[in-house]
Amino acid sequence: MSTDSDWVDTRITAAVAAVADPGRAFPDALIKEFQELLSDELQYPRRPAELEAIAVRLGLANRPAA
Amino acid sequence: MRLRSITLSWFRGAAASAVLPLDGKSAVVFGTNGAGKSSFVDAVEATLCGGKVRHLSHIYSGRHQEKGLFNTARPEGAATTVELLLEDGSRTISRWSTGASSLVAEGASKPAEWDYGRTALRQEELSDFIRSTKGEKYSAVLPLLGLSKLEAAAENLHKLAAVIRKKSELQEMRAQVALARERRAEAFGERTNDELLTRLEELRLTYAPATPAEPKPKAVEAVLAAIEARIASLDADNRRAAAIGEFASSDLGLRLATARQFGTEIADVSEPFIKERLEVLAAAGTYAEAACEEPGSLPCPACGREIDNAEFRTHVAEERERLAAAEILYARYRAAVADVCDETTRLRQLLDRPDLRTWRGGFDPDLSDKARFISSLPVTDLRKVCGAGELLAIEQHAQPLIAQAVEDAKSTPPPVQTLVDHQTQARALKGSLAASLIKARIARVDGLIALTEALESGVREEIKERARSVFGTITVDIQRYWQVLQPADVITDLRLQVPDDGEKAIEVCLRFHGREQESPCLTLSEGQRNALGLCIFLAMANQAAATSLPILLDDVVISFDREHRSQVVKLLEQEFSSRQVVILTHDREWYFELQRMLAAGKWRYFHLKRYADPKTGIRFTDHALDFDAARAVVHSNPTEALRTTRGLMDLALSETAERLRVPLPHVRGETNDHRTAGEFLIAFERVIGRCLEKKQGETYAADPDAHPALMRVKPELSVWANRAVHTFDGTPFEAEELINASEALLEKFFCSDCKHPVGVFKATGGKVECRCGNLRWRAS
Repeated sequence: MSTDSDWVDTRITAAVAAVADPGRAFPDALIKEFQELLSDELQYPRRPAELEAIAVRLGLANRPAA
Repeated sequence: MRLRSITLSWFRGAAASAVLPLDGKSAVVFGTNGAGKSSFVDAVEATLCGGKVRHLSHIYSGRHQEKGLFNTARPEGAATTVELLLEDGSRTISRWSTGASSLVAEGASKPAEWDYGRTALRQEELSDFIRSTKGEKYSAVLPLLGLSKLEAAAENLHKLAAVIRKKSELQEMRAQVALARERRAEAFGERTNDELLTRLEELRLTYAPATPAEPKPKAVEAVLAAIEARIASLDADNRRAAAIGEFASSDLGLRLATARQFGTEIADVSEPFIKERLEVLAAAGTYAEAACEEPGSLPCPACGREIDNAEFRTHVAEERERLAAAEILYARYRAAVADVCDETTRLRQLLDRPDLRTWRGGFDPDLSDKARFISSLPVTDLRKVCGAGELLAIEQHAQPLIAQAVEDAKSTPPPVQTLVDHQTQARALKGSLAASLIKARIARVDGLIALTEALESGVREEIKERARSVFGTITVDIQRYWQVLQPADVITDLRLQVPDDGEKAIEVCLRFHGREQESPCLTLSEGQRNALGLCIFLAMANQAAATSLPILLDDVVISFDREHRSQVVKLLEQEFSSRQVVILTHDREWYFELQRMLAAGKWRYFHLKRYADPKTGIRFTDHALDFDAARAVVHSNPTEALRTTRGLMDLALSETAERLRVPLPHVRGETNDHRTAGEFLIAFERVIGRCLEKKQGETYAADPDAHPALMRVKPELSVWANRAVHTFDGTPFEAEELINASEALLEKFFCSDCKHPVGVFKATGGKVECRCGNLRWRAS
């Protein structure tokens, strides 16, 4: 991307702050998945099969710690 | 920074080696469609974008897109590589193999760090911008502003939220929770969660005190197992009484009523139909949003009838809501049917227990038939096969059995009845706890979707901020470039319109001849939008961070007429003369024009041969008029070969006559632009013998072979080619002869030493010559 990737963390922090509440926390693993998803080299239109695989990974990462 | 060369090996259209030897100069690369010219731009994009080539991303996925980058004829073990060599000796070598890529950079300059959005402009980016319509969501201006990656990120997040919603079966889970709520109300009335947990604790202390209170699902399982064990330890009569009591406690009737209720509501609607209609409506919604910005009416996409825009949008929105509600209803119906199946399966297992053998033995024949029917139901597949007919059959057979059990359970001894009641309560508590887990899952999925959507909003916000910031710095340049490209059309007050609504695209607004335009699509012609898109890109390329980078323009004059294409040359010479510019085009006429108009000495010219096959790869030829296409069909379709040759000669002689300023009689109207090869041959016939000179030692002498070469072509063109055009009956001999004669004549206008055409350089005394000066044309 043309500028540094700090914006990814900034936007993720803002999004978490916007939707998280005392009853809803997001595991670190989920945040890492989103950081990866938004990393510069992966920004191209994804095919449906790729999106499904990402959705599965996000679902797994969103599970509470055992 | 200037490119000395771009070298491809088994990359895209290239075979083992294809080198574009720029030597740090600006260049024009001509090639017909598919000749491989865009492979060089793909190579630059792949190097600058970590292996990604945007126009391939719809077809090829994966981190490295390697399948899209490889030449399909690449031998086993060979590597796909791209080398960008710069004038200062720095080089970057990218290498791809299946599942891996590497990049090696040597030297001070690092092309991989260049901003691709400010380096290359491609036809598809411009055509998206030219053809975009007002009100659509996709913002075609973003790629021109170098923000296509962010747009892709936002779009991926948008689609991802929909995929998560679908894959997590949210509607189904919500339906299960709704049913569990009903079960709980039946079993415990208005009792609160705390009261239920207290009841669970009481049952645990009574039946399984050794089991820990947490986790609760395990505690309730232990209670149920302990009650089962107590019942199993009773004598045969009491076990039978307990089993009858358990049968009698069934709430199958209520479950059937729920399923019936939903079944009635959706009786007239089929699920595939709903899904299909939802898809159609989604498309119609997009259409409505795009087409209904302005007041008035539009043709209905289904029937073509004119509908009021506002009415159409409202109707589509209502239909979508209605069908989405129907889809939820279906999910609830499916959950209710599954609920009936679970309870029927439990009753079937109870009926088959040995404890109830004597109970069944006392049934009359009708009730025995009903019991046999329930026992015959499939245990594992009942959910899959259960439809409206099966529900009715279950009701007709199971309800009389339950009624019998209720009657017989009246004589159950109180201690046994207590065990049965506690078992029923424990089962209801188990269902309630399971629903809590589903609710927690729903909350997690809701949270994930909310986070994904919030991130999409955040990325779109990022896009807006960057677009505003970038655009603010380039408007002056855009307007200046526009004045060169479109001097007759005045645009002012250029700015971005950034809508608050995330469903609408960022647009460029301007004043056109003093009149406000909310979108370039509304008034600007295709050619003007082409000009605006090109201006935006060039203004981006002229930004501080990019002023030393090369500029690659790949087929970017798609909607320009001849006059406006000439203005592009003016703009490049006026504003970008210090930059290395590489123009790639499939337009032969423009290619010749560029040769004539661009400053001699500063530019290099390359011509690609027609692509043969992946194994042969990209090839260069000496000049842009290769007759390969015609020669390829000499025997299979000689008429086509004659026509192709005639077309090439029309163009070649026209361009040569213009370059050498061969006088032609003026003809009124557009006929001047549509002269054929025959007319040019007549003009050349008069002058070629004395005007075309070759250097011999220190002096020049007329080329004695030039006039005979022309006289060989003239009758063949006028007779054979014309006849082929009109009567479709050329022969292979005629085609081959004409191709050879035409090539021989055109060769006369090219220097055999420097390979440049005569006329690209001016010499003294009104003469023009080739690059090395060995071939000369005296003014006629």
